[in-house]
Amino acid sequence: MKVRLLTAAALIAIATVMHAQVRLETGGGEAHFDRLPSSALTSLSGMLDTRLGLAHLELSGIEQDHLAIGNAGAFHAALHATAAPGAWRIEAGPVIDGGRDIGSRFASTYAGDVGIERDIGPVTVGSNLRAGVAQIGAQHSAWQQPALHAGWQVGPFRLDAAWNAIVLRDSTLKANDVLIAGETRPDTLYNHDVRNIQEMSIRGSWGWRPLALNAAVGHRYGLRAIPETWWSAGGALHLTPMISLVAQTGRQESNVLLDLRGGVYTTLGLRLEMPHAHPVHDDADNGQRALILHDAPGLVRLSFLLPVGVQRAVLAGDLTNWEPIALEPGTDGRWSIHLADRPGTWRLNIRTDGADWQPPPGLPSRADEFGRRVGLLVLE
Amino acid sequence: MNTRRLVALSIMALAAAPLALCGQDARITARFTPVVAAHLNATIDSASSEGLPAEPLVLRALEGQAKGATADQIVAALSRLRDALRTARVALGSTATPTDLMTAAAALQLGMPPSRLTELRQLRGDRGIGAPLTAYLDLTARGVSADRTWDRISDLARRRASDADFGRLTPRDVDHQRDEDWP
Repeated sequence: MKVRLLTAAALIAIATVMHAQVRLETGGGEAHFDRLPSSALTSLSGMLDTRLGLAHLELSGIEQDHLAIGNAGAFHAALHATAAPGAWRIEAGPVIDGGRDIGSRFASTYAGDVGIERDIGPVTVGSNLRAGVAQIGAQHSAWQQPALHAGWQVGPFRLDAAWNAIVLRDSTLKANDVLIAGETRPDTLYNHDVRNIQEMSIRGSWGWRPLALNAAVGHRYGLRAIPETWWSAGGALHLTPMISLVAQTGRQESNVLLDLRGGVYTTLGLRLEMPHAHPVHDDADNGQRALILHDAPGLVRLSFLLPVGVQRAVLAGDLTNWEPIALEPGTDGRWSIHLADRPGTWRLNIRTDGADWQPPPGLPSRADEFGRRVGLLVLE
Repeated sequence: MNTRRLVALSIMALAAAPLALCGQDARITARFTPVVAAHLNATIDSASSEGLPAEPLVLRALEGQAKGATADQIVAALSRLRDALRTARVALGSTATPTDLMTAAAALQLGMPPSRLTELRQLRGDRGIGAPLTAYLDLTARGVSADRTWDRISDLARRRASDADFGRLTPRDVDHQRDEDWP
């Protein structure tokens, strides 16, 4: 243990000198701050990936300050409606991306996306189709992007393969001299080109705490496309439950749709993961709604975030012999109860203001045998 | 002689009555009508006589009563749970603890094949199966694929992971490895 702590301290010191990097993670979002000692590049980025009922929201952005050269930045936003009929998972919704390279004008693309995925044993297969329009300065493009992907999980190993095509019809405004020459018919205002680009990538990962490794390689080729190969390799070493040392290097691919350049990168930094109150669920939509706290010997305190306006709430379950017991309201909208701390998986429900029994918010649930759902409380 | 015999039989009957009541769970008799309680107690007693734990059956009956289920629904639920407990004991062996049987029965009722219980028991050896099964129940109840969860659980068991390792499993650990996304 002492050796591990000393190693952790040494690695933290090395990492801090080489590259300051902070990454905060919660159940549904992340924030990064990077700064190289040379001050050549400072980047700030954030990401939110959360589920709101049947909706899946993704937001991310990055801003890079290349000192003495200029700024670059990009953002991504997607809102998908989700459904899971049978073994399938389906998502569909709008996607918006935007970005600005150094010295370039802002570029954006607006698209619709529909995807389908399912598990077949240890294999996950899926496909999606995205289509939209992109605007890069005076050029606009209509594009379609069909894609296929497959993943294979065997124990701690995971292998993912993906293929996609990007078919762009670029329309570029002709130079002014053409217009001056009199060719002013609308169908002659633009030059049209078609690019048909293929991309393939393979990604492998292996994770076994405290170590996780990953590597990926991809290649792009096609009609009127500049061939490009990208790759990455890296890993994370969990020093403590909260702190990980991470290292990653690779070549980032360029962004065809937004005309953003790629480049080589190397990063070494620390990742700080915010601790979960045990065992608070890391599902983004449930994370704050149930707390299970061991704050008294032999007792466990359950605390639920109930809707505003609830006047009375009772809990009944295996640990109460299914006798309803009142939950105590707190000042922060949470309702709490102390129960005997007995290891096992226990069933329980709550009832608010005389309504029907429901699984407590934030706890996993399953169908009971009586036409309702029952919450599951796991105590270790 | 007849009088003596009658007195003796009466005394024996009075002595036997409390013994018969001892086989009934007070919680059942307190919450159900005598007829329903007798029916439920018969199911529970038969399970107990097979060496199966009575507590999960009692709790399931109390749950049904609390939710206003009909007697038929409760009896059927108990019957299914008793079957699951039996299957769990066959899969895990006669040395399985009541807690393990309860957890295993819950996993079976969520669709876990009995063969996986046996495999898990073999993988864990002399370590308990409570922690991996609890993790399995927790993850699958959160919507994680049962097959993926089993792959992760069995792999951990194969590597002789500790109970704490199972307790730390999250849906993300099973669905994908978040470290892939770095940076």
